Amino acid sequence: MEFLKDFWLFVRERKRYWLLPLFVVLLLLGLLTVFTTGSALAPFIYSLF
Amino acid sequence: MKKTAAPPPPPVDRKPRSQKQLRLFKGIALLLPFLFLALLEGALRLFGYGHDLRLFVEDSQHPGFLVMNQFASQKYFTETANATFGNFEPFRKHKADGTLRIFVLGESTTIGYPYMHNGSFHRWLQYRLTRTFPEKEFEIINLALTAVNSYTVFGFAQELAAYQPDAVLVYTGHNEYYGALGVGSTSSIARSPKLVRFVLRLREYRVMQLIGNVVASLKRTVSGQSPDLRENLMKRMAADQQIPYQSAVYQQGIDQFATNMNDFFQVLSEQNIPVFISNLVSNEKDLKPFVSASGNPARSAQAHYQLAKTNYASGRFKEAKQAYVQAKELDLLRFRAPEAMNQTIQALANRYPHVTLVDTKAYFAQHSPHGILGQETLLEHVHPNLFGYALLSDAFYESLKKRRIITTDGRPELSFAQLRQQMPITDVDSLQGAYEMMILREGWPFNEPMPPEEKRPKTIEEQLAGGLVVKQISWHDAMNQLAAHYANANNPAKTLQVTEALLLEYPHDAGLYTQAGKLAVTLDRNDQAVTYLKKAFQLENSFERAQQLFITLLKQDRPDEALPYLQYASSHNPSGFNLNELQSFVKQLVRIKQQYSKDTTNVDLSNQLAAGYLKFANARAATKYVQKTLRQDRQNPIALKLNQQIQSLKNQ
Repeated sequence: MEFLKDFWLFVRERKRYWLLPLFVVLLLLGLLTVFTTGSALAPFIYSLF
Repeated sequence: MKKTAAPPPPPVDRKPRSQKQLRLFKGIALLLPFLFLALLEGALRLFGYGHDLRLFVEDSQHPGFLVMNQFASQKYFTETANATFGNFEPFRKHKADGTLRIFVLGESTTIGYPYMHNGSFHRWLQYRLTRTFPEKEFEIINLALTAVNSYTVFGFAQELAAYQPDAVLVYTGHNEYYGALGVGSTSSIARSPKLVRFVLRLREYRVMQLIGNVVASLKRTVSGQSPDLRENLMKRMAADQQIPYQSAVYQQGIDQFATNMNDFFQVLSEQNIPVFISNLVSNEKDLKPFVSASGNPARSAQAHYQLAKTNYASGRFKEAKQAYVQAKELDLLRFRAPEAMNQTIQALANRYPHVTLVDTKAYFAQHSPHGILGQETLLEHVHPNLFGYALLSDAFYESLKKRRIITTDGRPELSFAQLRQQMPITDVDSLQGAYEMMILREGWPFNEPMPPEEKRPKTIEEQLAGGLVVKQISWHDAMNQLAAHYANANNPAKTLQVTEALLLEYPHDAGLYTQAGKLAVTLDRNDQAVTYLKKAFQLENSFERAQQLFITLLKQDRPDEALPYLQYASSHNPSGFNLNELQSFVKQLVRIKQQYSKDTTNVDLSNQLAAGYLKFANARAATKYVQKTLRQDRQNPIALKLNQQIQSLKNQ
C-alpha cells in the first residue's frame, strides 16, 4: 500500500498522469496471474493423477 | 571574475490546451499501455522468449507429419516446470483417404497411468482395430495429460476441428478438484470458468508468460527451498484441501465441469464431429476413505465404509454397494469424482445428438463381484489395472461400432478374449506399473509400507522395469534390450510380442513391421506375417520386402495377391536372379484357381494346382490341393503320386 501511495504522490507532483493507464493495466495483469496461480500444494498432488 | 549562477529561464508562455487536444492526449495515454505491451510482445518473440502453445506442431523427425506440441500443456500449469507431458504420436498433416482419425482427450487414466505406452486404453483399441481391419489405416492420437481437467479438454477441443477427426474419445472428470486449475487448487476468485478461460487465452502471449515466470520465481523465493518442504506441505494439505460433500467448493467443481464439458460438446457438435464420452469409474470396495469427517456418523465416510463392509460380509450386496458409494461421496479428499460428475456427463450426452455416452461403469460393474467396483479392475482410487484398461477399450470399441464409426459387416473380429490374450503388453510393462503403484502407495495419502525386497537375483524384466521407474532408461531402449534378450534366448514368440509393442508406439516404422513379419513367419502365423509385411512394403518399397511377401502369400495359396509383389521384385531385382519363370507360373496358377473356384469338384484342376505348387517346393499349398482331390477321389493316381512327392520333400 505504501508503494501505491508513493506512486500516486509522484504522479500528482510531477503531473505524470499518462502513466496511470499503463500502471493500471500492468497491475491488472499481475493480479490476474497471481489469483489464477495454483496453490503451492497443487504440484505435489499432480503425481497422484 | 566571480561566476554568478545563470538566471532561470523565463517561463514559457503556454497556451491553454483546447478540449480537442486534451481528449487526444487522454486517448494516447489510454492507448500507451497497449502500445507498450505490443512492443514488448514483439521484442519477446523476436528474441525467442517463451513458447508457441499451439496444440500441434510439425514433427521434426517425420517430415509431413504433425505431433502434439510439447509446450501445449504449459498454458494450463501456472509454473511451467510442473507442466506434464503427453504422448508424441505423429499423424499425417494431410489425412490420407480412407484413414480413420481419432483423437483421445482426458487425464491420467486416459493416458494409461501407471503403465503409460501400451497400457493405455487407446492402444488396446488401436491393436484391436488394426487386427480386425488390417487393410485400413488408423490414426489414434492420444492428447491426454496427467493432472489436467476439463479446462484442458475444452481448450484442446477448440483446435481439433481443423485436423479432420472422425471421432473424439473422452475420459475426464476425476481432476476437477485438485488437478491443474481445479477448484481445490486455486484461490476462490479463480473459480469462475470465464475468468480462467480469459487468463488461459492471455497465456498464449509471451508477455503473460513473462509475468507468470516472474510471479513463479517470486513465489519460489518467498517460500524458500526447505528440504522438508514436501513433507510439510503434505501434512498441511490434509487440512487445507478438504472439500465436504455438497459444500460450496464441491458444487463449484461440478459447475466448472458442467460448463467446460457443455462448451466442449458444443464446439465439436457445431463441426459435426462425433464425440464418445465415458462415464467415470472409481474404486468403491477396496479403498477406504482418505479423510473422514469426525462427529456426525451420517457425514462420516469411514462410518459408511464400515457399514458397507458389514453388509458385504453378510451378503447384503445391494446395501453394501450403496454404502460404499456414499463413503466415496463423503470422502473429504476428493480424488475420486463424485457421482454428480457422471450425472452431468449423462445429462450432457443426452442433450447433444453427436455425443455418445460410453457406459464404462456398466462394463466394470459386470466384471466385478456383485457389481461393486474394486481391485478386480482398479489399482487404487481411480486408475484401472490392465484388465480395466482392456475393458475401457472394449466399452469404446463397442460404442464406435454402435454408431457405425467402424463397421464390421460380418467380418471376423478380434474378440475381447482374443484381445486380452494377444495384446502385446510385455512383462516389463506390467512390472513397471506394479512398481509405480508401490511407490505411489508408499506416500501420502495411502501411506502403505512397501513390501520387503525379495533376496534373489532380479530377472531381466525386473531390471528393465526398475530402470524405467527410476528413469534410468527410456521405454524405447528397454524394449529394444528386451527384444534382444528374447532373440538371444531363441524365443521368437516373446521377441514378436516386444516387436508388436514397439509397433504400437512407432506405427510408421517400416523396419519394425518387417521384423514382426519375419518373426510371424517363423512362428507359422502367416496371416499376421502378411499383414505386417504388407504394411512394411506400403511404408517403404524394397526388393527384400516384396520377396518376403510373395513367398509368404504363395505359401498361403494366395497367388493373385502375390503377383504384384512378384512383379515388383522382378523389376527391382538386385541379385539378377531370374524371376520371370516364377512370374509366368504364378499367372498360370491364378488362372487355374479362377477356373477351380467355379468348379471345385474338378480333380484335374486341383491336381494341376498341387503340381504347380510342388514345382516350386511349396509343400503346404500342394498338400491342400492333393487333399481336395483325394476327398473327391480317394484312389486318384496323380494325387497319390503327388502326395508321395510331398512326403519325400518334407523328409528332406
